[in-house]
Amino acid sequence: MITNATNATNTRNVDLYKTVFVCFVFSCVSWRASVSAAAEVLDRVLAVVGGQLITLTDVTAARDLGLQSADNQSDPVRAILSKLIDRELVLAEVERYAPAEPSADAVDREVARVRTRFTNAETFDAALARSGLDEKNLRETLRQDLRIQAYEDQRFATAGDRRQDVIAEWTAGLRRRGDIIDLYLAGR
Amino acid sequence: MIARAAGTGWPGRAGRRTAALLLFVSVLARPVSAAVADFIGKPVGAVRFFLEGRETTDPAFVSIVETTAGAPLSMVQVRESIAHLFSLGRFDDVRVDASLENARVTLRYELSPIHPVTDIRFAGRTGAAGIDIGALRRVVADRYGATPPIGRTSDMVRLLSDALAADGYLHPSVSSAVRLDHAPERATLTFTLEPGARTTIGTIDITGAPSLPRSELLRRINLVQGAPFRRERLASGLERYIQDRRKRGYYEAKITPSIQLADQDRVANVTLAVDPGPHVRVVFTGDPLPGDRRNELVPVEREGSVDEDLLEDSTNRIEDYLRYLGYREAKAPHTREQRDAELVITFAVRRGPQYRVAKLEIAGNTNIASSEFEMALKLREGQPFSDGRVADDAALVEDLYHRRGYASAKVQPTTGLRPTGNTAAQVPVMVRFDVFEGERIVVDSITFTGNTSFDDAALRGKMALQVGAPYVPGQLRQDRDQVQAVYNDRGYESATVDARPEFNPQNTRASIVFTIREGPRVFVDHVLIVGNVRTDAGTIERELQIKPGDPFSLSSISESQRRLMALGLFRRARIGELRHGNETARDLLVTVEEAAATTIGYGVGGEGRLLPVPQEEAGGAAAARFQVLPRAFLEYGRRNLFGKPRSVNVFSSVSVPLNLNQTQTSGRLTEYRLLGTYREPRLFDTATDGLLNATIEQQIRSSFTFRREGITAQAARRLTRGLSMSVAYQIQRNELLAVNVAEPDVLLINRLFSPEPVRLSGFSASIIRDTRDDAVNPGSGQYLTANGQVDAVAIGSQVGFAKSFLRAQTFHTLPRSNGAILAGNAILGMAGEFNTEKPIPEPERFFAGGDTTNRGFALDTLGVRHEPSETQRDTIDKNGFPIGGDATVVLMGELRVPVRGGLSVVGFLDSGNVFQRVSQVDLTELRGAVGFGVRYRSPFGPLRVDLGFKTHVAEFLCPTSDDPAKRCPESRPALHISFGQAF
Repeated sequence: MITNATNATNTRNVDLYKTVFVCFVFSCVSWRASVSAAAEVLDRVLAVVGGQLITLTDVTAARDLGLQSADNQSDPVRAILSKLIDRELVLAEVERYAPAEPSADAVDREVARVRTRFTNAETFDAALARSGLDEKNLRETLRQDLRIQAYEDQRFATAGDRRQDVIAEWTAGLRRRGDIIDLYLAGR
Repeated sequence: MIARAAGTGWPGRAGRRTAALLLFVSVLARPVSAAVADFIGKPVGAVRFFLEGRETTDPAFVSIVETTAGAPLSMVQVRESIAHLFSLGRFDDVRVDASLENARVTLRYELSPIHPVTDIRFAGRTGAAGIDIGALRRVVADRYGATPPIGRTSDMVRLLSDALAADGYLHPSVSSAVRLDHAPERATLTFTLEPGARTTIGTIDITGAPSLPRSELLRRINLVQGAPFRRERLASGLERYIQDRRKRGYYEAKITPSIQLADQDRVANVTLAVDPGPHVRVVFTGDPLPGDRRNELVPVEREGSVDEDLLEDSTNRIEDYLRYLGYREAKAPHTREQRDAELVITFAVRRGPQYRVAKLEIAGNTNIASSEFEMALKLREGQPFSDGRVADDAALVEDLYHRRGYASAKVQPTTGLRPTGNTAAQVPVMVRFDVFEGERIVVDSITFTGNTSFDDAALRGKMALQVGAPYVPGQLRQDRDQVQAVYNDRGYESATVDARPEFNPQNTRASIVFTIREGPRVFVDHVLIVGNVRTDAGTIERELQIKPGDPFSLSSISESQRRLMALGLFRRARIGELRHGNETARDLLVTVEEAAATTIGYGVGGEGRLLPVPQEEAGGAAAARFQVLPRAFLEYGRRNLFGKPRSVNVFSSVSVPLNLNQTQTSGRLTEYRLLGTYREPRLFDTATDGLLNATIEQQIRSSFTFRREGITAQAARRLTRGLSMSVAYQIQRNELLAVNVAEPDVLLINRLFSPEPVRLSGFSASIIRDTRDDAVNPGSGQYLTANGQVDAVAIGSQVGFAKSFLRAQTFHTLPRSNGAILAGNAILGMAGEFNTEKPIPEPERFFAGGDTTNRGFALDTLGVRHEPSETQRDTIDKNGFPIGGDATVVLMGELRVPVRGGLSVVGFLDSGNVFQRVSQVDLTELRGAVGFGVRYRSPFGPLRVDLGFKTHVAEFLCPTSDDPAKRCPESRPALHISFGQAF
């Protein structure tokens, strides 16, 4: 019995060893492959709105800098991308009517507000670098946001409590008429 | 045993330890996916491009990416590279992957080329009743074009679903599948249709009081029980019915459908609520209204309504209309009256007396004389008076004062009845404008705030308002726009400029303050050129007025677009902007769509002209005969040669006179022309265009027919917008084929018309000033040309001569004439041979007469003729055939009056003659003609018919066997049929 037990134990150990060895070899091959070829998607086009691109780094920037939120959606990229598409449509309307230019101070305040979302300057700079933005880009984004705000304040001033609904309805209209190519929706 | 067994078994403890270690290592060795942050800042080892998985080294890609090997990786550059690649318009998607190799980043750009859908197919139940595949295909093509992008597939699916629903398939299922093909990239899009059950019309109920029997009503709206339910067709049938009822006077007819779907939407039960409304009759009583204005003043038929607001507006319109005509007390109230089934609307029009301006006085205007604005006033003594005209005229005078600096000027109109002369029908009114000029406001100062990029002097230089000059509010607005334009043109696209005047207490001086918010200045970062297949990028770049590093200027972009189109190489050229997300930099995307490189044109046409032909019964004397020449042409062009805006064209035309027996000079010859042209713009990189022409032609003239082969090399340059000049060298060979001249002139003929071919070689220079608003049908401007030519034996010519030709044309649209144009044309031609033994060959001599010179004469038949013949002076032989001359003078004038549509009439007065020598030019020998013509802008081109009459008919000998001294008069009229204007 002892002999049998020992034999059985040995057999199990050999099986274990074989299994671990195979895992090791596979892992080594995989590791080598990972070091040499595993590629990370740095950036890609997610949508084209009226000829303007929205890229993966736009979504990253909007999320990491706290400019847009995913609202706890199951697909945060989808959620933020939809907001950026709407923003681009609105911005095209804003360009047509050219509302008052925000002052440099107002843009500075917005930049400062974004900075406060980060614990220190390094993390803020790292977030910008990850997103492919520099401070000029961020200023431009925030300037556009202020222009959108000014436009909406001017156009929907009388909407009162219904303001958000009216804006949503207007944006939906822009979406219907807009020239949108949603590559993320196509799942490519 | 256990211990031994455990201690000595090969895979014992040590083995287990080894296994555990391996497992640990294997866990550690899992594929690691690096985060984006891990790549940033690391040196780029390689940048590779993959087009659908296949690596490419296309320099078009390499040159526009920002990420370069050796430089640290920056996501800013990655983003920018993606934008550039995508902007090429060749890709559906661009993705950038990164991997680490030996601590260096390898970037992999994955490019998914656009696969235009070149084939759309339909599968599934395409044979279901009522499904028209052709119509569905058209629906897609109408919205998305013949080659729709794959990215629009979901939209196309929605569109097709809607189309099927409109055909009664209310719940269709449409799915799509794409098959991609490569080299060339294209896609086949297949839509699979599952239309489901078709909804049919079930019950049809009609409620209300239809004025038609049920069957007739349903027939008119094309509604049939059991037929497919087509919502849009039902709506259009109802609309048709309503329109028909309105035409019959039932302006308030209504028919409202309601649809109840049943049996799982397989059946649509329709209920039509019909309200026929009353028959409406509009009646005008009292004073008359012009019949052609009634529908406009009372638009119940057009609006399809007798709504009370509409009727109220109609009353107001009638009263305003009459008041404008001077019926100041006009009233046109309306009433509605129901008479049985009819609604009668009556407008009782009472015009009242007509007020007329008896006297118009203007007072108080000391600084601007009445004569400066009187002509522009609407009010005139003796003309109808209306309050509207008074207000308009007061505003006009006020505006004039404001423009002269009297910003506070007011004009107070007063009106009063003239005490005498009143009749029941007419009331004379005295109108007086009291002008309160106020103080003239002068600009005291102009200051700018917020301008950091341009100094005050630079901005002030763009303004019309200046310190010390009168202050004009309207001019201030224009100056504000000018300052704004300065900023916009220099890259400050979001600059805002506010201009505000501040006045001193006396209101005599204005200080103008411009408040400027410049905003960020935008520069051009990259210029990307896409769409050029045959055209060299350098050719495009040379036309761009904006380059990388330049301020982003809309006017430069616009000018660049214009220049690109002027190359003639492109069907479309557009310059768009690409935003970086950087407020100070933009990329420019120049998208061109090349025109077809090869053009082929062909056509047929005809010309009718008078040509002198010899009459045997009149001893060979010339008589003008109308000749019809059908023509055909074929043209081949090839542009964009070798990637430059070079072009080559070959034009050929042939015409055969129909009534050949009349043209004994030409026998059975045909006219033909073969012209090859090579154009090289910007010759040797200069602003000069080069042109090389080769011509082979045979032409029938009135007294001879000739064949010519020639080559011309020309260099032309545009000096200013309206001024250009050219120089040319020409070598040609002329050969006479048939001559028609009188016997006594044989010596002259032998001298003039050499039987041997003649080679001519010479230089010419031209200068052209063209300020016409339209080259084909000008309404204003001038066209002046001066041409000089020298052919000399020293440069290979067999005949040496000098020749000059001057032409001056002027066009004026007459004011208040509904577009009538007065046009004038003057021609002066002078030539002289260097050796009198070798006269100028006839094709180079001057001829006149015909549809483009003097329209009272047949082609070329204008000339000097004496009796008895003076061979040293005459340019018409004794039989009436022209022999041409060394000098010509032609003067033409015409009035072009548009009639309707493309039709216009012309009256003209032409004069001119041809002289044998320049020294013999005698203005008293000019021959005149008057006439008229018709122009019609037909689909085939502008047709022209002119009928001219000689102002003086001469008589010449036309001896016959019976009467050797017989004299025949010239034919007075001359008819010409052709295309285009005479000049």
